[in-house]
Amino acid sequence: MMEVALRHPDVVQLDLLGQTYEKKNILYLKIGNRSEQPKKIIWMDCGIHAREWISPAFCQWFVKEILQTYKSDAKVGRYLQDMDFYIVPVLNIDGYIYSWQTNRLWRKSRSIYPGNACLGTDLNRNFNSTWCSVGASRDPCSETYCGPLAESESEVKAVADLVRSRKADIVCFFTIHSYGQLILMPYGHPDKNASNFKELLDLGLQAAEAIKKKHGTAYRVGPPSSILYNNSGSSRDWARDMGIPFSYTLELRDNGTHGFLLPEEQIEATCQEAQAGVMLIVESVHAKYFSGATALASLWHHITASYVAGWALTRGNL
Amino acid sequence: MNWNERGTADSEQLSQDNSARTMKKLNPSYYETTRAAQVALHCMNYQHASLFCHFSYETVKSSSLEDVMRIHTAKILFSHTETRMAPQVNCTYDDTAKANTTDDEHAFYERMRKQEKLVDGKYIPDGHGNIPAEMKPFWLLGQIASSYVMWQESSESTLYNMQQEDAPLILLLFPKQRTEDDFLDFEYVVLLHDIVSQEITQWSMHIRWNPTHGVKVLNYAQDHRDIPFPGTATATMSPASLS
Repeated sequence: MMEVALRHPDVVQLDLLGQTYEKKNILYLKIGNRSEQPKKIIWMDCGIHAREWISPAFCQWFVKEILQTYKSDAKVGRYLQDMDFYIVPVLNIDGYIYSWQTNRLWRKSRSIYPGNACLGTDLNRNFNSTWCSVGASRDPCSETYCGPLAESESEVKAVADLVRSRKADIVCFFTIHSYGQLILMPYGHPDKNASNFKELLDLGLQAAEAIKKKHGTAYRVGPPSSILYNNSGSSRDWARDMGIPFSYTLELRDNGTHGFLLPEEQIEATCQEAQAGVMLIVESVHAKYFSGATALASLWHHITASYVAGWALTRGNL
Repeated sequence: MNWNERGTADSEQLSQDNSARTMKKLNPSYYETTRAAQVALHCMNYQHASLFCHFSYETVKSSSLEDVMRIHTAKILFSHTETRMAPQVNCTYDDTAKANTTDDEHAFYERMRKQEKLVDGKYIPDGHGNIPAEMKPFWLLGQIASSYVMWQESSESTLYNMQQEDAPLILLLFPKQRTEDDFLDFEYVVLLHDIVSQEITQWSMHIRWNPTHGVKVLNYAQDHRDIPFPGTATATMSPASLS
């Protein structure tokens, strides 16, 4: 990540989100043109669940795609002009390392609480959104243990603190998981409905369409309480509670044939299709907040910059 | 479930005293339907799948069958009785119900019968999801057998998917020990993933197979041995040590 930041100092900043239970630094990337004014933010976190290896792989892919195309693709260039992407490549670092070294199928954090028979909290049940009401367990030995209290986990607190401080600017929140081939919207609780349910569903369906166009992979769309199972305390639901209008969980490949053990030869295709889905949502969200004069101004800026760059190139300055 | 014209599905629930039945309309994309369909799938795979041909939601993945089979009706009865029972499944099919066995299966069968030493296999797939070609038939065999366990262990509140790890030991009973039967026996340890609870459970199973009669699970039980499976695990297959 350091290398990425050093190679693109004009658009990439590396920052500290917080620390894991084992006191490892959780870093995140802020990608976007530098600006004096606060900018709208698109959030993406990966690696909340340790065994979902395709998730951190996708965050890396996403960053690579943005940085390889922002100079050549006018759309992407405009996104970086108007917005910032906050990317957390691996949130649950402790669990992720544990899954490589010890237990491939580990899911939770690696936190220990005195008196608990088992360790680890399900980070995606630890956010303060109808915390531990449905689809989560009070049993520390359960894979969906919600923790002793909401935001007890330092990884969750790190996300929550940053999002709280910038919630007015965050327009879209992605959290990446596997497996299941799903685009999940708020809420996991069967009695809760997002005020912009239809808007979320429509956009989700469009994203699934974009995914399908790539390699024919079918993704289903809906709230977990309908298409998966009830749950509570997820980052997606909490983000929506904070007023972030667009909040999605992406469950990537596959459908269960390999499950968490997605073969290496499927990584690229999985990332490509997920990219298509994410970018469709990004484009739509961007269009909603940036239109008309602003778009024209940034377009003009881009043309000027391209002209200057082109001129410099022919002059042999680059 | 009977898929009617409007695209909704009906499911039956057998109540405690077996007398009153409640019919519920299900939306095909809702999780109740998915779970019931998964149960039907496990049942079908166990009963009708062969080693290189098994069933999934959309297509029959097969090297030999070209036609896509469509299930028209599948009746799944979840029992709400005190003694837990496996859900009953009745399926009707559009086309040929029985999957054809392939040359590959016979070749694999003959090769295994000729093995002089027991084959020891580990981690199928490995930590990175790789399955070496020579281990693929064992994986498929394990998938079919695991369908049986998942069918037996399913209820409305589970959604079993198989997270498979190969057996540390594959037992082969040589044909000469059972000349009249011509079966191969295997001992597997598999990991199953229940999507609802997110729990991974470990099961050992005694599997019997030959290409003509297909797969039978002779017995299975939950297995509490601590079998390490780090992410760095790589697939291994070798003649087992005789010590």
